[in-house]
Amino acid sequence: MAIVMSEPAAADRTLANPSPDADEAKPVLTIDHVSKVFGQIRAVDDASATIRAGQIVGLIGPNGSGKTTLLRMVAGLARPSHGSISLLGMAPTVSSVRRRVGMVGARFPVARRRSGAEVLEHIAALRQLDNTGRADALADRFDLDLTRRADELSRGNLQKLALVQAMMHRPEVLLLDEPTVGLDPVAQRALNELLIQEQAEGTTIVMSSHVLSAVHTVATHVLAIRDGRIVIDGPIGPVLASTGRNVAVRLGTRDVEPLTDLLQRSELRVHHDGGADEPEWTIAGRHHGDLNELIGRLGETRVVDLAITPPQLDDIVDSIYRDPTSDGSAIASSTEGPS
Amino acid sequence: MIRPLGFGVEVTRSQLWRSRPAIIGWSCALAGVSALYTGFWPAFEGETLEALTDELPPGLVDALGYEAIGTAEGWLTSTTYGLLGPLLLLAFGIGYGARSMATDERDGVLAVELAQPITRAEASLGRLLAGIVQLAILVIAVTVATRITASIVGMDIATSQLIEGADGLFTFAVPWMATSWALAAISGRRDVAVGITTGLAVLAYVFHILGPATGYDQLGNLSPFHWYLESELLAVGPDRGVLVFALVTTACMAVMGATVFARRDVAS
Repeated sequence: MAIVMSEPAAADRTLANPSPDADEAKPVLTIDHVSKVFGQIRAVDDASATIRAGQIVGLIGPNGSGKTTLLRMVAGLARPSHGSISLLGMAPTVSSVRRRVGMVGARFPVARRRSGAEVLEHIAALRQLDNTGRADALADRFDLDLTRRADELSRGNLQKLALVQAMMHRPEVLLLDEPTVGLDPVAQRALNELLIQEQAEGTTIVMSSHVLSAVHTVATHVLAIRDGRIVIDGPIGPVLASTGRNVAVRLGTRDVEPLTDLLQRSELRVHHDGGADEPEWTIAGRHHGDLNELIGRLGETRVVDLAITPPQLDDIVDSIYRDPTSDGSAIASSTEGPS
Repeated sequence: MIRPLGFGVEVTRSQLWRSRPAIIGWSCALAGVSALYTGFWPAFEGETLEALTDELPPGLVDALGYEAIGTAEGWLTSTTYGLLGPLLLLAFGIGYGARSMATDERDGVLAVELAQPITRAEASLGRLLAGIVQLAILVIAVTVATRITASIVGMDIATSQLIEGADGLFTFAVPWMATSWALAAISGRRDVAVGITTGLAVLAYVFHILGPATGYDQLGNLSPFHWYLESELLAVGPDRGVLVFALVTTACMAVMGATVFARRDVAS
């Protein structure tokens, strides 16, 4: 019998949140019954959330779910049709609040003939900074050559430049809209490490991303949006735990009688894989209950292979986004608490 | 924190830096046109042109501003300062006004700037100020080119007259640019800003031409072209009414554009 139990990545916050006090920290961003209406379309629909100092919040959702619209309102680029947003105790449209905020938007257009250093000098001048702060150190970290002109930079290197300008003034809050777009795996890893380091130093980070592995790696909290509504809001550990572990068992017998009540209580399903002469059955699905009970009960049968993997954000995507009848209440209710 | 000009100065500086190629190109074009028409002067000096214009209908002569075309002032007013100069500056101003707001918004440049601690007013008015500076540079290019060429060809025109003319050109062009800028700030759309402002300019020019030619002088009186060209531009500079109109129009556009821009969503 082979047993495989996947370990979470080293930096995974699922099982070990490095900032346990974050849920008790002061609110940095309060979204209070915010809606955004474009004609007949409600891009954001009565969204409420409180993001506290030191949290890294992964904003996830399918295309058109309202993530970018919500981030744009938080950044002060758009105004809510209804409700209110408070960022660092002020309306996001107040320019002085942006002194304490860094942002990477959907695009980072720069003058083509300017070098990376000149772009950063321009941003520093807009911020009335004496110098470009720790831009050089950040550029080194991303392996970005600031002497090259913007029109010589690839999409990924422009994204690195955008990240450097957002972080060079040590912001208290970082708003990142798809920050990993165009980044190679090495740069993605550098970004993940940097975000975790920033958080450890007290920065609050809100990042929207379709790269669920990146969100899984760095986020302490998850905010899932579907059709403009927040359907999940909570610490990433409980959110993922509520989706259950992925279990795949190959049995060397057709006798699943000892497992009947367990199968009825769980989302595990039985499949017959082999031919008529090969009495192999597969049990696969999500298991929400006690792992020891599962293993004990499996011991009453003949197990050929067993794989248990921790829950992933993809599983949330599966359970929430692809199931139009799900409103996320099951997960949301299981993660209620200070968020 | 009081910020009289605030970070808008950096916006202005950046706009001017980005516009360097355009400023150089337009300056060369305007200087070239000015030098060309001033350089033609010796060929037309005297009574030759006046004899020609005597054969034209008086209304048309009036509309085209050819009344004193046989003099140095009349020649420059009919060509550089009365036709090509204002039209080219109008084209530049309308284009810049629309581009500086609407194109920058479409391309995401404004969103990047507004992620920094600058106000919407600073981001928008900084662009308007950069446009006004660029118009001033272009008018200086016209003046310098005309002065140099006039000296070379022996045209009898004083520098003070050219400065009055430059004053007039600048005063004429700024409100059009401000209108285009304001429409772009309000709508976020380049086509709307260019379309409406160009439409208004063409209408104003048609009124200016058709009014006197058809005997409906009151039609011409509605046109800024008429106010601008009716003053003795190279003698006394722009009419005080024109100055007031330019100032009030530009101020109204600046307030309107900045106010609406501060309250609407910005594309990113």
